[in-house]
Amino acid sequence: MLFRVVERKWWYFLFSGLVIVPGVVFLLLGGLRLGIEFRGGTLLDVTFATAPAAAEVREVMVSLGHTDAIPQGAEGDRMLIRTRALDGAEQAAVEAALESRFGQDVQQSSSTVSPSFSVELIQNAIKAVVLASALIVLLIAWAFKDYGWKAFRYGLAAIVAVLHDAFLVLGVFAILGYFLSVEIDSLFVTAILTIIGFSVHDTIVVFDRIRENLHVSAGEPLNPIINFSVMQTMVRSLITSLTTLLPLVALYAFGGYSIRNFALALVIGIVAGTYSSIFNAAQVVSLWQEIEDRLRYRAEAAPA
Amino acid sequence: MSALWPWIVGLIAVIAIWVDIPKHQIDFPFGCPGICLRIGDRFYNQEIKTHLGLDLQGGTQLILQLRTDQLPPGVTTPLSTLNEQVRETIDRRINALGVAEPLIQAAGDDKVLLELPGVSDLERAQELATQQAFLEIKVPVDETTNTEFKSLEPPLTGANLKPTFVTFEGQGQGAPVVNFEFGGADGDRWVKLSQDYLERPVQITLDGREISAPVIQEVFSSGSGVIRGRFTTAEAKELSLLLNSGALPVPLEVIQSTRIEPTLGAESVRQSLVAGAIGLGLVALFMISYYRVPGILAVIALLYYTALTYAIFRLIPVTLTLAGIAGFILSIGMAVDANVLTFERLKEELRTGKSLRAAVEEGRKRAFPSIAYSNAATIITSAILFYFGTGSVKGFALTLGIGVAVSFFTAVVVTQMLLRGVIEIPRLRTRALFGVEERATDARRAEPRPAGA
Repeated sequence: MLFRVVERKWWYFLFSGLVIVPGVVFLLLGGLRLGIEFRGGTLLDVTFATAPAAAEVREVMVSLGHTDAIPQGAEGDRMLIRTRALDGAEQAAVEAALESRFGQDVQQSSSTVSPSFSVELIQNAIKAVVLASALIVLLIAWAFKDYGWKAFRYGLAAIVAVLHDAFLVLGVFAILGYFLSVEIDSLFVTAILTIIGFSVHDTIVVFDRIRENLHVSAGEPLNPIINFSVMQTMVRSLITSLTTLLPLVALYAFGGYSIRNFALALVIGIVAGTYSSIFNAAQVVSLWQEIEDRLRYRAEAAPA
Repeated sequence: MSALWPWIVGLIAVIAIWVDIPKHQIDFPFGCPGICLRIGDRFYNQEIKTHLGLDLQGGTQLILQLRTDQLPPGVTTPLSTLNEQVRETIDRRINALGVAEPLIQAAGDDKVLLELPGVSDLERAQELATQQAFLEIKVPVDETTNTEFKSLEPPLTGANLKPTFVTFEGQGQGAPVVNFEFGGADGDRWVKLSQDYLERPVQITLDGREISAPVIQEVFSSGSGVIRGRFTTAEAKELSLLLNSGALPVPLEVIQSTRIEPTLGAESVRQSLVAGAIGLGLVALFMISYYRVPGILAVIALLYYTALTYAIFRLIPVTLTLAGIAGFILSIGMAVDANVLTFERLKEELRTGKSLRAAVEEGRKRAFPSIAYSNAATIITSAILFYFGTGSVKGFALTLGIGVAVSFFTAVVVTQMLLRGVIEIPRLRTRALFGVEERATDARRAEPRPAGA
């Protein structure tokens, strides 16, 4: 069993492109919806005895002057209501109004972020992503330090794979946000960072094998070595993804509403991470080598 | 050294299981539910239990911003000192209320995190945390008016009040009043004030708002007085509590508030446990069916990992949140990875014709760099998330980080140890049990050898 995973790299790049492009289109359309953490506002999580229609809940909210309120049905008899930031007294008034309209069994959890704090949360999220990426580049460069300057092409290839995974997840959530009003919160940023960690983890294993094989078969052409290395690690990649996906799928199915989108982001990211570590990362290294060889060939062929 | 490992691993397992056992249902010797040490006159007592975050047990969480921009000009107290004073004041207020296990901690110098388990009255919590409780006595601006008031020079404030208390007076003892007494020099100023403004009103203000403006009927003999503010009993008690806890040194603003109903939290705990158990079960099922004997070892290592990680959560203690549990469940999957790396290597080495013993040793050596680098990548991510994250993100990062670190230990030490032990058991020394087809030489070797061959 030996696939030509390196020779067919353009097909794999094409497949990645086809999957990522729709998401990027919706990203550009502004599909990614920021949750209250990043935008400021209040999210009321109300459990009714029997969930009323969203329109009825909206009526109650409007009668209290919260004309911006957006009620949305959630799991079972729970309903999420988004509004501008409400203080404790305003929230108590909402709960009282809902109870008088829909009966006494109303239980209201809430989370409120002031607009000023949401700006800080966004800044922190960006800082975290940038710093994590920078440190991971350094880690990869250090892992491949034996190669001298070539270490950077491995680092860069790993980053390409990571960007591939991150954009795929962002794109999917842009589509979900566009059509189903799914919002992103700090847990989503956490998911993205975890995916970055996992993807790099997966890619490093492949690269580590390439390094070992290069050492064993020094002087042989790169592409067959890469092909061989990817094949050797493929089973491990697939199994690791599977064993990571199994608990996540359980989390998605049984972990409850609050954690479902988080689990979904991780599932998508890990599938993407596995694909990119098998079909993208090493292929980028191969492509780099091919371009370099071609340039050198041209330089040598050119009249002196 | 290698002879020592099984003992160390065993000892850790025993300790971990002891820590994991719930301590509330059982009567423990000496009535000690955890670690109780006594060395000479020194005591060290720590109750061992699982700390559930607010999102799992219900309650109210506030993040408060110190509004230093609203401080009067000329205040030069450093931010960190202000933060400490704010926390002390809030701590006194909360303590007076008797909230069980409140959490009050600095979140950077300019923010304070306040968690009140079991408290579901957000409005009250906000008031308690943000009311500055700055009491000041003001006097009429001039001889002619009784409705405009000004501060004394220097202002007479509640800074040196002795503990206040609520009593009742009037018809049927129905009207609650707050009794106060100025201490030290402020007491003398209070007496002097009653001489200067006899038969004129003074204004008692809280955070700049009038709560009462009594007319002074007689010259006071001491620094004490009462506030009659048309309160309900609850309001009078609250005012007394705020005055006793002291004023906040800086105005606070609630920048984030979360309120979780306890029933929602309990439901989340139940769902997470189900998800975790099913996840663990699926992984175990897969590992055993795919890897056979090593798979069983991996599952034992995984149970060891789960017990040890949970014990660490209980010991540190790590407050478990919904996101934290998600991190833990995710780390189960990642914990298996190091085993997968080792076992795949083992298979490869076996296929090259090595003996079981040589293959196990070679597999360990070769898988190690991959395991080390890949775990490092995840630990870096966790550390950054922990540093920059707030709330749920921090919880996730902490449990994921601890999980990955522990999994490194179980994969490199525990699984290897089990593997080396198992290959010494003759009945298990069959290559098929390790997921590799029999070699021709093995089949031959199994037959009785002719003498002299």
